[in-house]
This record gives sequence, structure tokens and C-alpha cells, in this order.
Amino acid sequence: MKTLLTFSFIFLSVLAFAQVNISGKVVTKNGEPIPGVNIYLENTYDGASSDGEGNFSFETTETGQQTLVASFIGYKTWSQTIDLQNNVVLQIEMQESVNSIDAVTITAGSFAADDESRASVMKSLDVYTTPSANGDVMAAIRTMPGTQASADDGRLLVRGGDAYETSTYIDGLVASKPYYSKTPDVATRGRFAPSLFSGVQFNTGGYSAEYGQALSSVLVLKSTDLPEADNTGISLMTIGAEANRTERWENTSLNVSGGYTNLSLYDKIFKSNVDWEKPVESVNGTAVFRHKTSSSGMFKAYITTDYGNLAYLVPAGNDGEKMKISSKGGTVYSNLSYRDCFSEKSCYRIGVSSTYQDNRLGLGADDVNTKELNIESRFALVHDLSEGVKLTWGANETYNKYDQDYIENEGAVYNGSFDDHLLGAFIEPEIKFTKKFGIRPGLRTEYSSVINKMNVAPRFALALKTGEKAQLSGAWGLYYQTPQADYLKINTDLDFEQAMHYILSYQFGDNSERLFRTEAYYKKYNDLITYSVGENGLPKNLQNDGSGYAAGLDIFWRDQLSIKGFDYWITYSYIDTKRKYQYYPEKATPYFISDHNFSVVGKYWVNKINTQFGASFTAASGRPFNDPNSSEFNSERTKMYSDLSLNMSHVFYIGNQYSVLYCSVNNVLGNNNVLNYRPTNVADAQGNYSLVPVKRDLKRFVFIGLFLNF
Amino acid sequence: MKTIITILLVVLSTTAFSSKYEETMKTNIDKLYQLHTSAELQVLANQFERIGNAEQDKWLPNYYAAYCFIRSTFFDEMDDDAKHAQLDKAQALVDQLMKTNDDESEVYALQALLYQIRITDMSKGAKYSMKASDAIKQAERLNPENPRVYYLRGSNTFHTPKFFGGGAEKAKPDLEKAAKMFESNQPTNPLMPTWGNVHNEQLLSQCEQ
Repeated sequence: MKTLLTFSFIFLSVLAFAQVNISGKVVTKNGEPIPGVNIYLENTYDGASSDGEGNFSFETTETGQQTLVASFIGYKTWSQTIDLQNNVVLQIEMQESVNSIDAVTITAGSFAADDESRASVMKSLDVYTTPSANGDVMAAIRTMPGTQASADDGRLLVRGGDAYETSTYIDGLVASKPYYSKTPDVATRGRFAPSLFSGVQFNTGGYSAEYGQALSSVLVLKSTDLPEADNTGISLMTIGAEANRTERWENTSLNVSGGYTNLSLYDKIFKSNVDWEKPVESVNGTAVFRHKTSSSGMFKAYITTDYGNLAYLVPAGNDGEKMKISSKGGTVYSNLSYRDCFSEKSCYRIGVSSTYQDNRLGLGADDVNTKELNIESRFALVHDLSEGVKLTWGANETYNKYDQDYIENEGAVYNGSFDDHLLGAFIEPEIKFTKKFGIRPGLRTEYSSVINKMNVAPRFALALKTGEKAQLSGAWGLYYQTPQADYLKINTDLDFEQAMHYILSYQFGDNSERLFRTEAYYKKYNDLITYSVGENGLPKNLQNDGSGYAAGLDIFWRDQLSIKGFDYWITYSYIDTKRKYQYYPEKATPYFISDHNFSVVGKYWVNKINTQFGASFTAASGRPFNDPNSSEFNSERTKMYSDLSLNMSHVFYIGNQYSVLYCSVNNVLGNNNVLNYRPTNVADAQGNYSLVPVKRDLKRFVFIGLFLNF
Repeated sequence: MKTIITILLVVLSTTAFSSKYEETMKTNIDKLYQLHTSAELQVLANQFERIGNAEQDKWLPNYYAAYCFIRSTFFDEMDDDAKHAQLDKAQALVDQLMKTNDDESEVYALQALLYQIRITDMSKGAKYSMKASDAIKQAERLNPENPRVYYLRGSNTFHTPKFFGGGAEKAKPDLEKAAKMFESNQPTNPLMPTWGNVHNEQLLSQCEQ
């Protein structure tokens, strides 16, 4: 025993002095040195870091077979078994990890306003501080390229597409009524408050197979997670008031808010271009609940409801005749979602959203009462299959119920109604072959029960990094959309409308400094719904007989670096588009299209007076309109449109909380150009049709708001 | 006899081992506060990571490795991309710590510091100060006696623009509280973190101006 002990002590001490040296060089596969790599023997303290030339060297008293490890972020961990009999000299070649943060991201067609995403071009705060937006998410998005200025519409009109061709999603679930009800000649605005969202991804085309039912564009809104702290807010505005209360517990939060809007006082002070009988009056209430179930699990519930009422007179006949348009209605939207992970490599999202709208529209002596219900259930799973390979798949069921009574003055009632179950499923792998090159092929399929048709929509996107901050992306895809309710209520013997997108995009720079982005696209429409106008004014002979194209170039430039405290972005879009759809007798450029759209937004923060100043300018070339007295359809052009808006936000304190005094003026220059002309339905005695000019509803819009926090 | 020897050997080897751990850690921790170049701090971070790899049940080695990477961005006027690369390394380690030691106030304090250092330009302010503030809250919940909680909160407020409810005036009470705690709450374990005091004093003196 004693001998054994002595022996082992001697053995141990001999070991202690038997040092070997391990040295070498760490390089990339191109032979470039990698500094800062941690090289060590597994389960020991022995190791070293590679120096500026990639060289390393260290001594160890370990013996025998040991594992030498080299690890560095952005590279795959390298390891090799070595024998420590003698000194070891070796060259370590490390491979770049395709999952590194600066790896390529697929961005074609996508403009993100997100604080997380690297594809981001805008930040969520920009929605508030863009002067032309007045706190409307949709209006802020309209400063992005690819959209139409459309001051008389207020909705997103993307790359030649009609308003219905853009779908809005909140946390992956559809929001079927993202705007307040649109009535003729008066612009609408987005329904959802920007404070609910931490990110906005605006897809102008070529989007993922996860989304269907949109020919042109998908707007994906990501709601905020847990709010920071308890808060009470009161907002007093020239057009109404709002109040909200947020309670935050450790893993749970609840926010309730309510608002009231009334434009009557406003209408009395400022002369409106619209002959209001009942200026817009609305009430809304919202509740938002969040519960964090684990480090990866999050449950979100959001419900918002509003009721609105408005009425105005529009010119109808030739001799100053007026027609009353009124709209009264309520909407309830709810969105429940849950996301979590099965494991580190598999995550899922499930949710249900629903929209119920009951709207009463008055068109002169006629009444149109419409009830719509939309319920969508959806799930999606994301798996990290291996390094650089991610698979997303999922399915949705969307139920639509539509019921409309068109009640004529004479008492005749036309009922139009239908039910639709839309089933959709998609699968989409994303493969990064290297850090610089990735592809995203996708496949989506849908079945719509009301038309009893199925579609299969392949998609493909790729991205190639051409430099440290430069990348080239491309996308192609087929997009389908079930015909609009206005047609299905009359005829269900129809097929999906279809669009095919081709996009090529180049991007250079970084959003926090300077970013340049340009995209060229070509879009081909097929199977658009066409009809002729029947004697009662309703469409007849509905068919999938239309087609069209849109080709264009979008340019975006943002610079936050050149002048300290000053941030600006410039966008320009050119479009050439024609289509035959609806009642168009031939292919023509639709009335909402300006060939050239230009916008610039700038903001400057003055620290001394705690105030931010902003300006935005939008210009758009003239839009087509149809003069029924002319032989060529949609051949006339309006004058150019322009708008200069200014705003300022002054921050001050009440106790420990900050409050904001906000003031904005839209259309400072008072440009009162005709936006478009709407033909009247009735010809005068000479058989000529007169045209009704459509202008923006307020020549100048002055908004003052006091947002108090306690 | 045999049992005694075995016990003796086991005791000897464990104490020898743990003292090796403590000694190495103590030496490197002392060194950490003396280094003023980012290259040296990155080398030291690797050293801590190696200890962490060998001592899988200890959280302090990875904690200090992450802190070294964060601290390495304070020196040599690094450009923003290089800073974020170091912070990415730190974040990978903090992510590990969050899995194994999510009951440790100091881990959340470190996470908060990391988020604050991420704010390399205005555009990142809103996001990361919010995230930092959430982490600070967790750190406070786990140990309200941790002076770094108040130092970090004060620093967060100090650097938040007045536009969003920040500024020196608002930051002062937290910084003062932190200063008091740095004085009174000295750790008994020499390996426990002590950083924050110097910067806290700097911020306080800026508040006085």
C-alpha cells in the first residue's frame, strides 16, 4: 500500500513537470487569420486566445488523448482529439456558421418597421412622428415606396393593386377590417392604434407562403409584449379625447382604453370640402391582455370595438342636386394568440381572430345593411432542422359569413349572402447554403368552399450578400385571392383572381446609419373579375375575364448619420400599369394610380427645448379619370397632387412621468387641387354627363393634442 | 486504513481542486479591473470561458467571461459593428446563464448592462432601454439589496432622452441609493461581482453639474 502511494505521488509529480506546448494558427477556409479564437483542452483550464495574426501557443501538463477545441462566435466550433506525447503544432481551419447574425436575410419585397429585424427600414416610433401620418399606421406606411398617395382613399394601394388586394395580419392572424368603413369621396384611416405594435412588416410583393388571399401586398403587424410599467394616460385632442390604464404584474399585464371622436366642432371652425350633415362621431374601446407563461411562452388577447356615425351630401345630378351618404355601424375585432416552443429547435404559434361588423350605409333614399363575420384559426410551426435550414409549415381555416340587404326606396329588397370556408396550408423551408447565399422556396394551397375551387401557389425567394452591407434579392410567386364579397353575393360561380410577381431588389447600407434600397418589379394579373352594370346599378355577367400588368421601380433612401439629430428618408416610385377589370371596357390605368409618387420625411430633435420638429412632403403625378363625353376610357389626367405637412412634439413633465404636447398641420400650403373626378350617373338634356370633382375633405388640417401620462 | 486514505485523498483532491478554481478565479478577477485594452479583456474573457467549460456547475466563470466581453467595448474606441460583435459573444454566454441560473440577480443585472451598451445610436435607444429596464426589474425582484440594480436603473434613466422621461434629475435618486448600497453591501464571497461603483460615482458627479 505504502509503495503504491509513494509510486503514485512520484508519478503525479513527474506529470506535473511534463509540460507540452500546443501552438498553431487559426484561419478561415480562405487562409485568412481569425483573431480572438478561444483554443483550449476540453475540461481543463489550459488554453489560449489567437492573436491578431491568428497565432496561439500554450503549455499544458495534461497527458494522453485530449480533445482540443477552438470556438469563436460566428464560426462552427472546431474540435479534434490530439495526443500529448510531444509538442503539438497545427493549423486550425474554421468554417463560418450560416446562423451568424450578419448572415443573409431574405428581403425582396419586404419593408419592415421593426426594432428587431435587420431588414428594417422604419422604426415603430416613426409612425407617431411622421407628420403626414397623424398616428395612423397606414398613413405612415404610405411614405414607403410602392404605395399610392391616394389622399381621397386612405387605404394602402400597392404596386398597381386595388385596396382589396392588401391583407392585414396581426400576430399572424388576419384582420379582415383594418380600416374604418370607407364611404365615397372621403378618406378613411386605419382602425388599429400604433401603440399596440412593436413591429410592422410591409410586404409589397413576393411574400412568404405563410400568407394567402392577397394579390398585391401583406401588412404584418406584430403586437408588443409586456408593457414596462403601470401607467395612466389621458389624451385631449381637437377632435376628441382618449383615456387608458395599464397594469403590469410580474408576468401579466392588462391595458384598457377608450376614446371618443367628434369632428363637429372642427367642421364649424374650418371650412370643409365635404358638405357634412353629421360630421364623424365615434366611440371605441380596447382591452389588451398579456401573460408570459414561461421564458418562451406568451399568451396575448386583444379585443377592440368601435361604433361610428357620419352623414354628408355629395353632388349627384347636373343641376346642384345632392345625394345624402350616411354610414352607421359597429365593429368588434378580437385576436387571441399563443406562442411557445416544444424544444430549442421547434416552436409554434396558434391563434384565433374574429371580426364582426354590422354596417348601415345610406345611399340617397336607398339603404344597404351589411353584416359580416370573419373567423380565422391558424397554426404554424418552425423547426430548426440543421444548421442553416429552417422549416416553417402550418394551416388555417377562415370562415366568412356575409349577409346584405339592399333596400330600395320603393321597398324592393335585394338580399345577397354567402358563407365561405377557406382552408389553407403551407410549407416553406429556408435554406442558407452559406452565410452569403440563401433561398426560400415555398408552397401554399387553398380551397374555398363558396366557389368550390382549389389553388396551388408556389413561391420562391433568394438573397445573395454581395458585400458586408450590400445584398441582392429576388422573388417570384403566384398569389391567389377569392373574389370580393360584392361579387360573391351575386354570383358564386367564379374562380380565384390571380397575380404573378417578379421582384429584383438591391440594398446597401444599414438602417441605423444610411440605407439605400431599390426594387424593380413586374406583376401580371389574370382572372380578374369583370362585369357589366345592370339597370338597377348592380353588377351582372360576372366573369373571371380580366387581366392586367404592373411594372415599376421603387427607390428608398434613409440617412440618420450625416447630420446629428436629423433623420430623413426619401422615397420615389414609378409605375406603369393597366388592367381590365370591374366594368372597364378595355385595359386602362385605374383611377387611383399616379405614375410618379415622391415623398420625403424629415425629423429634427432640439434638445434645448425638448422638442422634435418634423416635416413631410408628398407629390404625385396626375391620376386618370374617365370623361364619359370622351371616346377613350380613363384617358384624362388630373393635375399633380402635393402635400406639405409639419409637426412638432414638445415633451414636459408632470411629476415623474413625461407628457407630450403635439401639434401638426397637414397641407400647410393649402393646395386644393382636384384629386379625381367622379362621373354622375345621369346625363343632362343634351346627353352630356357632368363630372363631380373630388377634393381632400379638409383643405388644411390642424391637429393639436395633449397626451398626459401619470 | 484504506478508507482513511481514500477519504483523505478525496478531501485533498477536492480542496486542491476547488482552491485551484478559487485561486484562478480570484487572480483573473483582480486582473480584470486592471486591464484597459479591449484585446487584453477579450483574452481574459476566453480564459474565463475555459474555466467555465471545465467547471460546468459554476456560473461565475461564464458570468465574468460575458462581463469581459462587455467591458472590452469600453476601450480602444471600437466602431459600432465591432462593439456589437463583442456583445453578441457576451449575449451567447448570458443566454446560457439564463438557462442554468435564472434565479441569480447578478445575471439579470449583467443582462441589463449588456442591453444598455447595445445602445450605440439613437435608433436603438427605445428598444434596448426597455429591455434593460425589464432585466433590472427581475434583478431587483431576485435581490433588492443588489446595488447594481439601482446603479443600472439610474444609468438607464440618465441616458434616456427627456423626451421619453429620462434625464439627470430623474436619475439621481437611484444613483444615490446605489452609492449607499455599494458602500454598505460589500460581498462576503470575494468572487462575487463588485462592478458599477466607479461609473455610478461618475454619473452622480455629472448630476451635480
